[in-house]
Amino acid sequence: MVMNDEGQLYTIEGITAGVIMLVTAFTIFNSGLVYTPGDAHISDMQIQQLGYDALLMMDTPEDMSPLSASPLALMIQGNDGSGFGNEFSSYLKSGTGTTDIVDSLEFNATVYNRVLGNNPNPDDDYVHSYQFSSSTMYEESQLTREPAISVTRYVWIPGRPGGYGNNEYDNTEQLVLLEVLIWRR
Amino acid sequence: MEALNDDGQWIVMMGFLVAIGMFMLAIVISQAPLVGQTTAESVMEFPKNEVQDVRGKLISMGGALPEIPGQSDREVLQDRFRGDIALLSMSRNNAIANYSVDGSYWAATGTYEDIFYTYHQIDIHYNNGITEYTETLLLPERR
Repeated sequence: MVMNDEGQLYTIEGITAGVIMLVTAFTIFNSGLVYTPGDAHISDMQIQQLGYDALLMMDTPEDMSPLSASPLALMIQGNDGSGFGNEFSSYLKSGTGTTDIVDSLEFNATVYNRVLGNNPNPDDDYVHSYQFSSSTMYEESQLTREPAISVTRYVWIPGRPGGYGNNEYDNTEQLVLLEVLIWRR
Repeated sequence: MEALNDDGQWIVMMGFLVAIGMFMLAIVISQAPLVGQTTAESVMEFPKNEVQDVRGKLISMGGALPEIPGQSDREVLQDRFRGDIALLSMSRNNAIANYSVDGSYWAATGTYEDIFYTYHQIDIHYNNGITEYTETLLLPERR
């Protein structure tokens, strides 16, 4: 008897359908759920680099002699928080310059300086901090803002930081740490 | 039994191939956010800007120190900067950062010299628990 070879295409189609179903089930049950909310760190990385670059530009001295004070150092020494706010805001917005929705980066800058203890024991040193500057929508954006990104920069200043207080004794050349928190409101 | 109608097999097979292609593209697209997230986290985890900041500060400060008269002034300044970097990085950046110049203090003659320059040896240490960075930098000074 001749072998019945009808319906081979249907057989192949059935096998193929089975394979597709198996692959689909395998893919579904082997896939972790990739949850990418707004704080998935992709935009965080860009904001961080933007902040570091802005601080780097502001901390570049205008003449090349060693240990010359940068514009940022003069702002900190003179406690010029509004001047810092204007310049830093302009750098944050220089990439877009479009609408208020896009230019929605807010920041808050804090200066940390080391205060020497009264005797030469290094354990007596402590860190003093004060708010240096903030953006204009700083207060309004506190309720709905996204998580903040921290960027820091060491700033060499020739005297005491301006927000530290004139009556304190620590008026020598020093390094202070400027920390800026940046977030999208 | 009626004979099997095997017309249009090319069309069926091409449709099948197109479906496979779309499936592969969907897999690629579904991986894109995951790749972007892990890459961004890796970039943020590496303290590139902190290390560059400390390094740049030491280079700019080191070149200025010979102009300050008196060895004791240099030592005071070095103590000041070293303490500032160490305490501020520990308290705000969660990192151990320290450095030494010519062993411990700036030496007027430098650590090394040739006929044109003396070289000050600056050792930089940075460790934030994830990234450890150590560098020995030779800062030239015209003799």
